[in-house]
Order: sequence, then C-alpha cells, then structure tokens
Amino acid sequence: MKKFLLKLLLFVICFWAFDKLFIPIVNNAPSLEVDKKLEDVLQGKFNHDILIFGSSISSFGIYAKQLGDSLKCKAYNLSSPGSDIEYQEFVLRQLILNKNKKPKLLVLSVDEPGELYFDKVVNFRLDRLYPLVKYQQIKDELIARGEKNKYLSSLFILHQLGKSNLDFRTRQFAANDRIMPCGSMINSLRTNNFPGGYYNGNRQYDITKELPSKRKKFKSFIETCAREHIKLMIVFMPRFHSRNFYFEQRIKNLAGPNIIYYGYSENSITYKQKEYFNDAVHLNFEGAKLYTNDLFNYIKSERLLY
Amino acid sequence: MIFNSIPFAIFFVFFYFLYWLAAARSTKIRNIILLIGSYFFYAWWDWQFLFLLIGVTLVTYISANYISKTINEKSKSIVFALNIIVSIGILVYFKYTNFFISSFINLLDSFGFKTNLSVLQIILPLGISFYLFRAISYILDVKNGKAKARIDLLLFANHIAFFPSLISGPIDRAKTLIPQLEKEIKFDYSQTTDGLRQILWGLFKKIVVADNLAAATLPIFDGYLTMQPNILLLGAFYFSIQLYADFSGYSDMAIGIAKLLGFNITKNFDFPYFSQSVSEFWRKWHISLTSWLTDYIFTPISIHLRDYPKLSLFVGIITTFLISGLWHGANWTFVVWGALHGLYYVPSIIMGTMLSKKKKNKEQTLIQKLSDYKNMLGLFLLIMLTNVFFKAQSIQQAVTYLMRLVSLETFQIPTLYKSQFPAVIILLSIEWSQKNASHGLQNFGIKWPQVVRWLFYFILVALIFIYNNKEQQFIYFQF
Repeated sequence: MKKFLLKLLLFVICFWAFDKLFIPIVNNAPSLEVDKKLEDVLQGKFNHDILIFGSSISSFGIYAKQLGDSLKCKAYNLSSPGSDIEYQEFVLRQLILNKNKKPKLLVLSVDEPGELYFDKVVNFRLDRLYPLVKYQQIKDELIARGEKNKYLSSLFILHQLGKSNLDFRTRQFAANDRIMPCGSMINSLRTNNFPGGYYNGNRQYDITKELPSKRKKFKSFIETCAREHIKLMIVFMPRFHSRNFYFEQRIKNLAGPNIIYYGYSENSITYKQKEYFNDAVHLNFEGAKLYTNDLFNYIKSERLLY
Repeated sequence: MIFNSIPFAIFFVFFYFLYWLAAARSTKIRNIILLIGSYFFYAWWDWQFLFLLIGVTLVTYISANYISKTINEKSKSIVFALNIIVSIGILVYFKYTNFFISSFINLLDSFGFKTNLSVLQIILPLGISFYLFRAISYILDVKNGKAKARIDLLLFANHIAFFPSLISGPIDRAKTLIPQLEKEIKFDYSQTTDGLRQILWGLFKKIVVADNLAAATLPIFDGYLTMQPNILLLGAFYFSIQLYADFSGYSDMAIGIAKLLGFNITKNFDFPYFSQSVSEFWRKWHISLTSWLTDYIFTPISIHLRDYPKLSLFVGIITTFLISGLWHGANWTFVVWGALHGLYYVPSIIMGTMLSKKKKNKEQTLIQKLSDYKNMLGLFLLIMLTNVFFKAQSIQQAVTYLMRLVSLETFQIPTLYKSQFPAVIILLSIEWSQKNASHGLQNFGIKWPQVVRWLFYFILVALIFIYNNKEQQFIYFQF
C-alpha cells in the first residue's frame, strides 16, 4: 500500500503542475467575448443615468440609444438574452459591489408568464460567467451556486473552467443579430412570417409554477434598488397577444407599491401588427423604436429622471 | 451522495484508510466498518429511508433463516410468500402507486367518468429496485435450495447494503459477494490501480459523455415538434450513447470502488453496442438485471410451459421484457420499450434459432467481416430508434418523434449540437479498441511509456474537472 500511496501522491503533484499550464486560457478567455457587458460591470465602467435589465425581450425591444438621446442622458441596455431574474440580480449586485455609478433610473423588463417559473431556455447564464473566471467575483458566485468547490477551485485552475473555456474561437452572435454600442440588440432579418395571428383571449397565471429561488431573487432585486436609492421601473413588454393582467398583478403584489409600473396600451394598433415583431414575443427594430418612444413619453411625462 | 461528488470523495478518503486499517486487524471489524460506511453513505441522502433498508434486510434475513431451518413445508411456503409479497409490495408502493393511479384516472377519463382520485406525494427511496432485487433473489435461492441461509447477519447486511453497488447496481447475488465478505482481503496493488482506472473511465463516461450529451438531448426531445428531422435523428443517436455512457459509467465507478476495497463484483456492461443480434445485446447490456430476470422470471415460465417450446419462449421473453421495461421506469413508454425488445426476439423464436446452441464467444479482433459491421449497424439503429420510447414522456411523443424521422431531410448533415461529437468519438474509439477487456481503460495505453500514459490520464482528469458543472451552451435560436 505504501508504494501505491506514494505513486498516487506523485500523480497528484504532477497533475497539479500540469494544471498550471491552463493559466493562459483563463487569462485569455475574456478577450474572445463579443459581449463585454458583464466584464465592464466587474471593472466598474458604468456611469449611465438609465440602465435596462431583462432578457432577450428587452435586449431587442428597448433601444437604449434612442431613449438616452430623447431624454438627453446616458442610457445603456444591460439585458442579456436567455437570462433570468437570478442572473439579472447577480449583475445588479455586481454593479453595486464594483463601484459603478448608480443609475438614476433602472428599467426592469419582466417576462410574461415565465419570469418566476422554471424555464429551460431562460436561466442563469453560466456560460457568460465562465469566460470571466479570472475575476474573483465570478469565482465566488460559481462557488456560491454550487458549481465549483471552494478548495478545489483554489488548488486547481482546471476546476475553475467550464466547457465554454475549451472553445478558443471569438464568440459570435447568431447570424442576423448584433449588439449595438448602447447594449441593445438588433436582428437584421425581418421575416414577420412566424405562425399564428394576434391572440386576444384571456390569459392565466399559475402561482404554483413559481420557483422559490426566482421569487427570492426577484425580491432581492427590488430590495437592492430600494437600499441603494435607485428608482425602479418595472415594464411589461408588448407581445403578440393580449396582456396578462393576472401576471402583472402578481408581479405588483410581489414588488410592492413603491415601484413604477409601465405596460402599454392594448388599444394601440401598433402592437397588434406582425410587422413590428420578429416572432410572437420579440419586437423587431421598428417595433423597438416605437416602444422606446412610448417609454420615453412616459418617463418624461412622469418626470422620472428628476 | 453520488460517486461524482465532492462529499463522496471526502467520505471515501476517510473511509478507505479506516477500512484498510480495520482489514489489517480482523475480517469481522472490517465488515463492521464496511456496514457502517454503507449505512452512512445511504443515510447521507435521507436518513429516514435507512430504516427501510435495515427493515428489508432484517425481514429477509429472518425469513430466509426460518425457511432453511423449518421442515414444515406449509409454514415454509407461507413465510416465503409473505416475504415476497412484502418485498414486491414495498417496490410497488414506492415506485408504481402513482403510475397505477394516473393510469386508472386516464382509463376512467377515456370512458367519460370523472374521479376525485389524485396522485400521491411519494418519495422514491434511492436504489430501492437494486436492494430489493438483491433481497428477493436471496430468498428465492434459499427457498429453492440454491443458497444456504447465512447465520451471520453482518455478512448478509453487507451484501444487501454494499455501498458501491447500493444505489445503481450491479445487482450482485449472494454467491458473488458473501464468499468475498467471509474471507480475509489483502491489499492488491494491481487490483487497486485497475480499480482507479475503471473509476476514471466511469467518470469520463458519466461527466464528459453522458452529462454533456444530456445538454443536447434535453432540448431536442423537448422541441420534437419543431426540430428538423436531421436534428431529431442526432438526438436519438445522442440519447442512446448518453443512456449507455450514463449507466455503464456509473457501473464502472461502482466496480472500480469495489476493487479499491478488494472486492470483485459482477460486470454490468460488456460493450453492448458492438453486438450483432438482440440476444447478444441483452447478454451485454445491464448484465446483472438480465441474468436476474432470466433466472427468476424467464426460466420458471419456460419450465412451466416446457411442453410447448415455442410458446414457452414467447411468453417467457415477452413477460421478462415487460417486467424489464417497468423496472426501468413507471410509465407506459417503458412498457412499450420492453415489449418492443421482446418482440425483436420473435423471428428467432419462430425460426428456432433461439434454441440453437449459442456461438462460442470467440476472441474478437479489431478488424471484422463486412457483414459483422452491417449487423452491428443494423442492430444499433434498431436499439437507437427503440430508445426514443425510453426517453419520451409519452407514447404519443415517441410516435410523433419517430414519424418525423420519416423524411428526406433526416439524412442532411446537422449544423447544430456538433460540440458533443468529439466526446462520443473518443468513447466509441477507446471502447472499440478494448472490446475484449473488462473496461475501457483496463489495457488501454498500459504499454505506453509512463509519461505518455500519465499525460493521457491527466487529459481525462482535466476534461472531468471542466465538464463537471451545470453550464450549458446558450441555444440562441430557441428564443
């Protein structure tokens, strides 16, 4: 057994040395990213008056440059496609911790109906974290989420990596998508030929489908804004169907009365026309410009920036 | 506690040294430590269900002792029947109650009747099918005089709760494990290093192949109505590999861990996807379950109907595979999966080739005849398409999935989910080159210079480290 234990120890020591060959991968990974939003947050580069949080719906549906130009302030869209409230809360936490300038107004777009549901395609974007694993804040979050072990992480570089670190190509968005300097995204392909027409029926909301973890992070998001004296505005973005007032009421009940809520007028014919949508849930760029204008008018009329 | 987790690694390091220290003192102390370790391992998941495990052990042990000692045939039969009813009853309650309730509700619903029945909140105890099958086989063997009831409760309790195979098999028989538990075990360097290599290979199969493929098969099967047919074909292929890599990977880890403790337990997979016939496949897939079902289901039926040779085979095979299907999961999809595998035997039953003497398992070479490849490929395709029922949530989903494969687009080269392919190639290449060995790394690279061999192991460990997380590549188009 002595021989075995000695050989095992030698194996571990050699592997530990081998492991250090992966340091350049960790250091180089951020340079392969096209979307630098999270890294900029970690480096404390944000100094905007308005920040927009949400998933792909607000990424494509709110044009931050137009909003900033209209209101004569700096606006940035920090939304990430495929991200859920847990990821958005993490970004907000990092925004505060890393001494970015606090925004005067934070716009949070909530996804109907799945904001608080389990969703296979909208989740905590771990693949956005792994390329930035050289930052301690990212390592801490991966450990806190149970992805990595604290002690193994400090011993082995390899234990800090994820699958995305093995892809050495520069990241690309999907063929027709690109990110603009204001953080908003645009899809250049205007197909408008998604199936189905405008759904005008009654929509339901099932509280039992909510995940406690998402509910907790949603509340934490609200509390962080309150604690940091950031004005929070929750928006219900247009979709190619009627508004779900059960869902909106649920969000209002959870978030409380001291929040600004903004939906859109169901009477507006705009949001019932296919030409403003890429699919049943995402506005296209023309739709985004119209919605952003509505948003601007509301912020201005309610004097939310002052 | 699962094998590929940090808590298990910590537990095992402490346990390992304690175990060998005890083994150096006496066999009994070693067995006490082993039993405490097994119970601790099980209780880590849910301590309350440990009492169920201990209860099953005690009831089976007492029944078996009574059956072996008593000469009154009637009371022997009563005790035996009660034990079987209790064991199967426990399994049915925990695993199949909700299946029966929901099937009953659906049946009434289809006739237009409404009912207030609803499914129950039942937690399925970890590894229940494995340890109950072990207990049932023991009582059956004692009843049939194939095994003697053991006097030593410690040995029997260790047999039922042996932690390497407790939660995911192999389903060892008493005759495999108990003799090893009885004797003194000495540390064996070559057995230990072979065990470590088998664990490494099992971890690679589970984490780098199976879990990685799951990230592709999940969205493909969920999106079966909208995915292109070529992606659906890729999904079916990936799922078959995932199923094998997952289950055989865990078995490899179990067998490897047992080797570290000085035990040799039943081999559970023997490179089944390189089989050329359905019967060969089932001799190589989940071997311990197949042999259990053969001994306790198929053989008794065959003997009972021996006057009707073909009928006995047909009834035996279909019953065995229906039970095998249900054992794998409480859903009608598993029943169909099992029934299909049973039906694949029908041609050989009709032609009488199933009764003919089995071909001697000759040493296979790397290069085989063209017809061998044709058989292998044909069988793999059949198994792969059947596995759609294993993965699908409902029979309707499986049928729709398979119907959508009937398209010219099916044979176009997929542009998505390509990143998983290298792992599949590595798995199949290594296993193909090692198909005469007991596991993928038993002999692979063993003659290489140590530096090269270790470098290869480093790469495997590195991949296991990197892939051991929940990260999934963002599937953009799904938005």
